[in-house]
Amino acid sequence: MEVRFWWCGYFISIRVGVSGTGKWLSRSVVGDGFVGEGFGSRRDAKWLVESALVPLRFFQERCEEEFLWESEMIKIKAADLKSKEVRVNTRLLYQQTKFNLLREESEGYAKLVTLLCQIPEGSTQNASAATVGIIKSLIGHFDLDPNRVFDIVLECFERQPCNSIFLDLIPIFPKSHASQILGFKFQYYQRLEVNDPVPSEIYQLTALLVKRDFIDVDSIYAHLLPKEEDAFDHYNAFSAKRLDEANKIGRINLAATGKDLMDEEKQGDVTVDLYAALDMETEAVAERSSELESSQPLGLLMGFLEVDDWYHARVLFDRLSHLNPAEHVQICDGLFRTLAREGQSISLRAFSPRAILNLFSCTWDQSRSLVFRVRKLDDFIYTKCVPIYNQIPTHASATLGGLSEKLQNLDNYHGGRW
Amino acid sequence: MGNRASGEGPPHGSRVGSSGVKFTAAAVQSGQKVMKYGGSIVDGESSQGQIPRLLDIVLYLCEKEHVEGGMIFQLLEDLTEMSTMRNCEDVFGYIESKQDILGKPELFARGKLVMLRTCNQLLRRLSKANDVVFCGRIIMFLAHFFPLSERSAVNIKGVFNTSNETKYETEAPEGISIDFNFYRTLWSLQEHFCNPPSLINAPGKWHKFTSSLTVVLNTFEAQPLSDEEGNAHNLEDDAATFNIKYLTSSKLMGLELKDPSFRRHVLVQCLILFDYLKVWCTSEKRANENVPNVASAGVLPGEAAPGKSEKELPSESMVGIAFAKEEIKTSEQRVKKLLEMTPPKGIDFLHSIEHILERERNWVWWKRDGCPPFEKQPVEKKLVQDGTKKRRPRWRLGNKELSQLWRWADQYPNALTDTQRVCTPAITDYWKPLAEDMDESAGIEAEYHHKNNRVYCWKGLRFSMRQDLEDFPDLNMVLRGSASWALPTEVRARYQAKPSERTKRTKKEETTQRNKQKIRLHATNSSITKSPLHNSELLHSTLRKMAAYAAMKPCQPVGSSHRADSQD
Repeated sequence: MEVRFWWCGYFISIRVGVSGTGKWLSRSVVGDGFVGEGFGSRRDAKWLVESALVPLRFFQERCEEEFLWESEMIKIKAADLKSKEVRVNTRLLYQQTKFNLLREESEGYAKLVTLLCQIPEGSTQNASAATVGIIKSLIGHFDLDPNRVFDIVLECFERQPCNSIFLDLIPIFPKSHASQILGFKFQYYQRLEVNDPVPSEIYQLTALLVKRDFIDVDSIYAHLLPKEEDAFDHYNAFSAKRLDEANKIGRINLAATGKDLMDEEKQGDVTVDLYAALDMETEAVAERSSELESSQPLGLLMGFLEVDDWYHARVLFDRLSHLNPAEHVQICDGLFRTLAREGQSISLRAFSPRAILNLFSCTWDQSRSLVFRVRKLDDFIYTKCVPIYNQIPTHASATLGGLSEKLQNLDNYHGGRW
Repeated sequence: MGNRASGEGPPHGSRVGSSGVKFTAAAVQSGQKVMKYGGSIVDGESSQGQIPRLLDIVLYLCEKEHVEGGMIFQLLEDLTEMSTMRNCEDVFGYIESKQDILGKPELFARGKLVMLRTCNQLLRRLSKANDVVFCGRIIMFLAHFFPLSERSAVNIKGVFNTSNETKYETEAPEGISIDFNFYRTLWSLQEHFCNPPSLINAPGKWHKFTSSLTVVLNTFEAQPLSDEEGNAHNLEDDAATFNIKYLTSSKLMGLELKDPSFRRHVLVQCLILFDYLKVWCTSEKRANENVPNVASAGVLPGEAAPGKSEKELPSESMVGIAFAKEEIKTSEQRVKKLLEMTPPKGIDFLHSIEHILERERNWVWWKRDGCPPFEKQPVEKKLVQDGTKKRRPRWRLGNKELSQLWRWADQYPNALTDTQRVCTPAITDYWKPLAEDMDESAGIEAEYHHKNNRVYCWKGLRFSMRQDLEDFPDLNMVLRGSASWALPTEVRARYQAKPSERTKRTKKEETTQRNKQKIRLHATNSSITKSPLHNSELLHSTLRKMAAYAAMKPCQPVGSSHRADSQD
C-alpha cells in the first residue's frame, strides 16, 4: 500500500507492504529527503509519529489494520478495528436515517401535523401544489419516514373527509403502500390489548379510498378479520344453535315421570315456554349485533354504504351473503338510505338473486317496506320478490307459532334454496 | 474500504463503464450538463443526450439478462459520484423515471444495496438547508423503492434525531426591543425536544426544562392571539414563506410570537414530548415493581420496562417520579388550553392533535415489538369473485365453436364456397377406420377405437342416413352407447329408460354375443383378403353383410328389442 501526502511543502510517499517475515516499511521521499535511507520497519513508522514528523492520523487513515496494531498506533486489536470499520460502513452506507415516531423528530412532525390540520377546506390547485412542496421539504430536512408521513396524511384525511386537498396529497406516495398502511390501522384493533372496535371513520376512510381508486378492495380485504371461513363457521354454528332452541319450543317429554317433572334441575326436559322463546330471540338478536362491531368486513360494508359506493358495497354483499349482512339493522338502514338516494340509478337487476334474497333476511318489517320500495323502483325485481314476500308472516315475532315459523323460514333460506 | 466489493461488473461491463466515464469527462470539459451532453439540439428542443442513451441500453441489457443485472446500478453510482450536485439532480431524475424497471424483483435483488449506498452518499453531499426538496425526493424514492418492512429504514432502535440542532444567539444584540432572556428561554427548549431521553437521565435538565417551559407558557398565556391574527393565515402565502427549520433570529421574535402557526408548532412539540414522558413514567413504576428489564440501553424507555434509567436517576425515587408526573399533567393541561385558545379553530385543531397522538400508539407498540412487517398480500382466488367480471362471456352464435366458425367465415369468404371443400366423403371411405378397429389382427385396443369418438360417430351416422339408410340401424348397434342421440327422440327416450337390473345384464350379454358374431363374420372376411382395409369395396360388402345379419332378426329399434329380451 502506498501512503502519499503533502507535508511541510514536501510530497511524501511511503510504501507499506507485507513480506514473508513481517511488516516492513520502505519509503521514497520526493524533494529534499529529510528521512535517512534504510528505514524499513514499523519501529521507524512509530518514530515518524513520535518525532511529530508525520501526524498519526495520516497513518491511521492510510495503513492496514495489522500494521497499525503492530506499530502501536491503535489501541484496539486489528480484528476488532476491522469489524468496527464494517459496522461504521454499514451504518453510513446501508442504513437509512428515517424517523417514524413523532417523538423521534418532534420539530418536523409538529410542523407536518400543524400544516395538515389547518388546511382550510376548498383550497385551490395552487394550495395543494404548495402543500406537496412543503411536505417534501419537511421530509427532506428532518428525515421523516415517508411511510409515516403518509400515515399521518391519512389520519388527517380521516378527520376531514370532505377536504379535497387530500386527494391531491395521496398520489405523491406509492400506491402499493397505501393499502398496507391502512391495513396496519385495522391490525391495531385486532390486538388483544385493544378492546375498542374499529372507529367508523376508518371504515369510511377506507371506503372512500377504494371508491376513489387509490386502493383496491382485495388488497385491504386481506387485512380484515375475521377471515371469511371463520366467520361462516361461526355463523353456521350460531344459526344451528338457534334452530335447535326453536325446535325445543313446545316439545313435551312424554316419557317423563312425575318425579322428573318435579326436578327442576333437569334442564333437558324442561319445555321452553313462550316467554322463554321471546327472550331467546332477543338474546340472539343482541348476540348478532355484537358481530357488527367485531367483524371488520361488515364494518367496511357499512363504510361503503356510508360513502355511497354502491358498486363495492355490492361486491361485499355478495361475498358476505352467507352471513346475512342485511340482518343487521344498521346495514339494513344503510341499504335503505342508499336505495332512497340512488333511486333508479341502482340497477337491482345486477344484484344476484342470492343477494336479493339476502335483502329479505333483514327484519320482517323492514323487508316489507323494502318490497314496497323495490316495487317503485323496478317491476322486474318486484315480480321476483313477491313470492318471497308472501312467505313472510305478518306478525312474526308476536306469537309462538310465528317465531318457530320464522326460524323455519330462516332455515329454508339457508339450507334449502340458497 | 471494501464497500465496493459487491457488483464489480464483468469485463464487457467495465468497457461500458469506461465509455460512460469518457462521456462524462467530455461533458464536463465542454461545460454542458452531463445528462444533456451529446444530445442534438433541434429547434431549441434537445433530444436525449448520449449518457441517458447509454444508460437505456445497459438497462435494457440488464433487464433482458444479457449482462449482469447489477451493472446498471453500478453505472448509476459511478455517474452520481463523478457528477456535480447540479448534474446529480438530472441523474436522479433519470433514476426516478426508470423506477418501475429498476424495482423489478430480478434487478432489485441485484442492485438494492448499491442503490441504497448511492442514495445515502447523495444525501450526505446535499445540504439540509438548501436542497431540502431534493433530499425529500431521494428519501421518498427510497421509501418507494424498498418494501415497507425494509429493515434498514425503520430505525429499529428508535434513535432520536439529536442532529437537529437549533442554534440561537447567545449575546444580546445592540438596541433590541425584545426581552432577550425570554428569547433564550424559548429556544433553549428545543435542545430538550430533540433529545427527550436526556430529560430522563439527568434530573438537573428536567428542572431546567420545566422552569423554562413555565416561562414560555406564561408568556403565551399573557399574549393571547386575537381572531384577526388567526384569520390572516392563508395557505398560499404560507407556502411562499414557509420556513422548514425554525428561524431563530432575535429580530423575528416579536413576529413569531404573533404567528399562530409558530405557537402551534411549539405547543404540539410539547404534547409530543409529554406523550413520551407519560408512558415512561408509568413504565418506570412497573420497573420498580421488579418487572424484568426488557429494553436495551433505554433507547425506548417507554412501553417496555427501561433498563438504564433506574440507575441513572439517583436522586429521584418513586416520589420524584410521582412529582414529575404531576408536573407533566398540569403542563399538559395548560398546553391544551393554549391550543384551544389559539385561532383559527383552536378546538378542532386540538382534537386533531389528540387524535393523531392517540393513533401514534399503534406505531409505538410496533416499534416496541421490534418493527415486525405488517404487509399482507391479497388472496389471489378472491379476485374473480367480482360480480360483473364473473359473468360468462356471451357468444354471438350460442357457443364458442359456432361463433368462431362464423368469424372465420367472415375472414375467409372463399373458404366455404371452395369446390374442394364442398363435398361429402363416400360412406365407405368414412367408415374405413372403424373397420380397421374391428380387425382383431391389427390388435387395436378398445379404448382407441373410433366408436368412442362421439363426433366421428355422429358424423358417420349422418352420412349413413343420407347415403345408405339401409345399414343405419345396424351401425347404430355397433356404435351403441355413443350414438343413441342420433335416434329419433321417442326411441331415445325408450332406450334411455332405466331397465331393471336383470334386463341390464341380459342386454349386456346379448350385445357381447352379437358383437362377437359380427367380429367373427368380419374375421372370416379379412381372412379371405389379406388387406381388407385398403379395399373399400370389401368394406362396403362387410357392412352390407352386417346389415343382412341384422335383417335376420326383425329390424327393431334398440329399446324394443330389450323389452323382447326381458320378456323371456
